[in-house]
Amino acid sequence: MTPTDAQVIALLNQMSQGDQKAAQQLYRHFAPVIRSFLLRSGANESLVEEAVQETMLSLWKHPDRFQLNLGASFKTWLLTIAQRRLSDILKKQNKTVPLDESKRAGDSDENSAGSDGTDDGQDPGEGPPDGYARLRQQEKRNLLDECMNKLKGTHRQMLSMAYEHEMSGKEIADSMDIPEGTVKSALHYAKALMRKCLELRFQGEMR
Amino acid sequence: MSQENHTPKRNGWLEDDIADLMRHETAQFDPDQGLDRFMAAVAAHPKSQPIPSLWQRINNRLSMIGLTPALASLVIVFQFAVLVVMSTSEQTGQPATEFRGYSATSEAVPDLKLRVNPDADFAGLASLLNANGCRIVAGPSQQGEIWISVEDKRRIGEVKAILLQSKLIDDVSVKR
Repeated sequence: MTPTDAQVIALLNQMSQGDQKAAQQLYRHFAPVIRSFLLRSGANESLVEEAVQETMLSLWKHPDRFQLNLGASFKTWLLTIAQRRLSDILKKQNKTVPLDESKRAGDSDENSAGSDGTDDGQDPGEGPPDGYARLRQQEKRNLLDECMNKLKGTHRQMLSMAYEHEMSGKEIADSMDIPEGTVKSALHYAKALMRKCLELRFQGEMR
Repeated sequence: MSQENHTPKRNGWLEDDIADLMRHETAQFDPDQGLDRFMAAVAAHPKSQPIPSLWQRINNRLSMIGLTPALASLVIVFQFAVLVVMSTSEQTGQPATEFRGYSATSEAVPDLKLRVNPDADFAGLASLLNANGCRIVAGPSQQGEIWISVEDKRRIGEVKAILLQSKLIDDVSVKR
């Protein structure tokens, strides 16, 4: 279970006193979260692992840098740090297209939707495709996962921040250094693509 | 979790299922993956004790001798006050001693009071007094006064006259 911010603060205080067990505890809680989040960008696993290690080590070295009064949760703050670490690593390696081979296999957002990446006006809040609700959870996950892999890495990360980690639009915007309006339209667009993909896949399954 | 006003809308089946998928995937990651490497890095970067500030160092030193900062401040203020009082009393009191020396008193009654020349050689003065059967019974005072008794009381007037002639002595007066 993810620790609360108060528990995190206590662990950070212990860590600042040199408590390695506290560092281990924080790692076991947050390294998987960071790893999962960064892998959604499409970066390959070794670079992501590097970023995870650097992020957690910087936390060990400077546990005092996290300030609750900044208004962000610890997880939001940590994901932002991790995202920047990964960007730095990619820049060092001149990796402008950090996509894994497996991710490249899928179509890009543009190929799937034929859009320029802005809000296409479709309402992704409409009901699910016919029969979708009757699927078992694992079947739904498989379908969603297929569609998720068609999205751009940044869109997957935005969806993760918005729905997995329940970050606000402003937090996502700050984390990714983009305007909040862009976040909103990108989320709307990504969901529209997901819905469209699901409809196509689901129809295919039914045939 | 802090939520802004513009929290992305999450009231539909798609958002819920996306969240479910992503959380499910994240939960699949081994929490110990990379842990050995991380703990090795942690061990390689042990926490150094932060360098204490000047104030912290002063505090530490004071606590070693059982003083709190407030008490130490009080001691310093007290010592400063004592110094001020001492320097003030020196300035308002008697001028600096003109004649320095051991001031002794005797039970013998003095016969004569001498006012010694400030430039007098004390050894010469002692010889002069000794030669005339005189004994110092008190003094010298800060004004250079010495009280002497004359062994032969019949010679007091004679001894006074002899001493008055000496350059070592400015004045002689009879005490009786």
